[in-house]
Amino acid sequence: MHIKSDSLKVLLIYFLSLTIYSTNAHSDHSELIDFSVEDLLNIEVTSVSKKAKSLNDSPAAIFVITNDDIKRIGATSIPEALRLAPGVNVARIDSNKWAISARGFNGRFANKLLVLIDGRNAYTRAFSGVYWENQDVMLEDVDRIEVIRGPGATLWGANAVNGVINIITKHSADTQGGLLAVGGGTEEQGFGSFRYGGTLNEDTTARAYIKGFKRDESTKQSGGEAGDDWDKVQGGFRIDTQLTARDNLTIQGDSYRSIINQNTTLAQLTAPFQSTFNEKIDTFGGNILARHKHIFSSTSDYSLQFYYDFYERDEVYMKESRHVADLDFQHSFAFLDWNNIIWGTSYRYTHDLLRSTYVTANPTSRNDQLFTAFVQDEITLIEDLLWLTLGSKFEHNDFSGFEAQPTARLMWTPHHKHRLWAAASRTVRTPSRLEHNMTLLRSVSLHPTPTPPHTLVPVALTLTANDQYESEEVFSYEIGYRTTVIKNVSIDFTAFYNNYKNLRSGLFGAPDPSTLPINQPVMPINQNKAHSYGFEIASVWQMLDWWRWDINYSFLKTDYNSNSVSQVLGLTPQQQFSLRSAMSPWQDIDLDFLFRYIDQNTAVTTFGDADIKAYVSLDIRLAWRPINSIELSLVGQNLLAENHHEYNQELFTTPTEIDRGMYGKLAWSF
Amino acid sequence: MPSINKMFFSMLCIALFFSSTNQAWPQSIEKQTVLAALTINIARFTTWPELVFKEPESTFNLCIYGDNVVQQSFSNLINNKQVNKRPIHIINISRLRELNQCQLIYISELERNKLIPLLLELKDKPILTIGENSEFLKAGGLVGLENIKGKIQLTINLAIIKQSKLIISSRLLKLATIVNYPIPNN
Repeated sequence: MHIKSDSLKVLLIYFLSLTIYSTNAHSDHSELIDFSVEDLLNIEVTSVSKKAKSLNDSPAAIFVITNDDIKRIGATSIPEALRLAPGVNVARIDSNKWAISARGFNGRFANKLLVLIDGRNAYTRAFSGVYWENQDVMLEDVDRIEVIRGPGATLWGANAVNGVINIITKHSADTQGGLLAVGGGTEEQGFGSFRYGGTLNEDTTARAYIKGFKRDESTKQSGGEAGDDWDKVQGGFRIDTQLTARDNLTIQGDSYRSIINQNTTLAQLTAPFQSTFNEKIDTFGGNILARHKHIFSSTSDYSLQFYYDFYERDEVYMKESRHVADLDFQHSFAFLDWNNIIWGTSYRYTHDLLRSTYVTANPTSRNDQLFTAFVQDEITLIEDLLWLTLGSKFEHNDFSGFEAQPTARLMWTPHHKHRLWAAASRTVRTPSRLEHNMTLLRSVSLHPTPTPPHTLVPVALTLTANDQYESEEVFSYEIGYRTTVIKNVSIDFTAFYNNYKNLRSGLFGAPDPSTLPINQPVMPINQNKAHSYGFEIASVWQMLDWWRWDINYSFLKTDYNSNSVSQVLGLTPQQQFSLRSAMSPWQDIDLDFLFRYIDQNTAVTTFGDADIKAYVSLDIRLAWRPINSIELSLVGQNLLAENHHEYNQELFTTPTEIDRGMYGKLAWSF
Repeated sequence: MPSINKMFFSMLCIALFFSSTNQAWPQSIEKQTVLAALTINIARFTTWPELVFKEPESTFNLCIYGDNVVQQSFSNLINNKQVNKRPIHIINISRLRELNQCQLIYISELERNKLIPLLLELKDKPILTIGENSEFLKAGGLVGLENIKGKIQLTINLAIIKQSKLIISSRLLKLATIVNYPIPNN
């Protein structure tokens, strides 16, 4: 497929506009050095263009979403905030489900993106992926979301194949005082959050929060309400204490309960071979985490972290509970003045219980262990100019055994305004409980018999378990360039090539004609290959002190080995473009918008392949602070169409479209 | 998608219009540039024990912990400038190693749990530490340059200056807010 000429035009205009603007050179104020201290203390200073000028020093495709970014775009959930990141495809399947992935293979059950919340893994072994509707934080207390596209397994572990999302909340010393936010509207029917932070003693600060929301149902693609409205209540806390000047301890925890409605379609062995019904899913979970960090010196420290996390979901096709306990140790130190070494080891214990008559698990309960160790050395090849990072993760899990995931990265900083990096890595996606132990009836359809008279007989496609299923594997090659050579503009460019092996494909077993429907088993095997390549551009332009633009574009091409796209591989749009404007024409007024263009896509589902048309979307937020402690905002989301189609889940649920929405919000800090 | 193009064009036109007529916002100078100029000026009002300079022609080593914006603000200013009659040599200490070569360390942003141990290491050494907020002084830093409502406020932690064997001119002290935070306990 060619890049559409329209998109090329957009890119051209974009670069042209940057060039036009760059000719307006400003002085660098080098005369300031001769000013007196008195004069310098009286100068009016500004720091608004910081984001348009700073360049990240990591040899990886990293993008940071700040607290301010989340607020100013009116995001009410983590997935909405992730729409700000380049090269990340966030597709809302229905009111309560998302498909999120970077660099391809997207789907509700996407399995190549690792997600961590304050160091706690949100990726579940059940299907190898993330239940996004279960992941939430008090968005006002988020410090930043680091989005790393590409492999990150050496530091973060297996399944960081195509990316890592690190959600990091603020230190409790930075969330002192009260915050009350309430609001509501058409899709965000009602929400509220309350946080209070205080000082427990001279060395200890803490906060606690509670939040809740109710979200409206989306629209069925065939028309009518989709019956997928949901609500959630979540609460949590965080305590940070400075035990000594060199030791600090963080203890935090959250718990939630959510009622999710969905319209489910399950295959059945009797005509009409499928049934559709509304169901109410009760899901709840919680976690507690403790982290001790000891600092030996400015170049040496260690951290010891423990967490326990559990969740339970009760769906018609699967009742699942999962408990994870994880212990992690990391130590970093400088060696011989030209090495920065970080190494660590961890142990994870998982207990699960899967009860269902539709998706049957054998065994129904498992206790699994994961051992990992890693070492990484950042070697200074030329002081302040060239660094080489070498490292590898080694792990042993109960599904695929021993895995090694090495990386080599080179960072070159020839000038303040230029950063270049390159990386090569191997990463694996470890098998899921589903692939190893679960069996389910995928679909029943009518097929003609191979011999005359070719009468139509029902055939039941059964997905069966394969406990020999191995890890999927990718070799990734990346290069990146960051520059601020144009005044008040930063550009971050990354290109990549990924070579995937042992991807999932289906092996058709011998059909069993003794029963009707004829049973046709399909088993997951590691026979697929693919390679993908593409590039991503993220740029920031501080046009005026009070007006910033963020412009992102990504291109992705995935070539599968087989002619037909396998039933189990997710897809991702080839092109994505986003344009964000953040304007503060007066100090107490913010006006922001986010415009997105998402290329066409195909959803591969049990109901057949569904074409997803390219779409555009626009979110606008207007905020006013009548006094410093109060902010009133009005947000319009998905404004360009009454509803639009973003993606379909691979199986079970009815295709829906996302509705246009408006909400108002009042935030009071005290 | 012609509608996208049209939208994009009109937004671009609005953008270019505003960029050419921008006079509404008051003239202000970028914070990092002012901070760099202040840092070098403060160094000029500071006297180091002579023994920190190994040779008569040793350079004045100004170490920076900060991103490219911070680094650039210093390197734009210093061409051929001197401190204590010595040429300024800028060293980026991105990995916080080899700190003893520094006469002055400018720390832009460092997470609090790393800052306290770092400043503890430096407490008795003749190294002028300059940071950007009041937390920096409470953690054991010497000089704070904090942006308060668009102006830089100079704060000096006199208690720790006395231990460091550095001498800061009284002219500079007069312009500063003086605090006396003790060094945090080890």
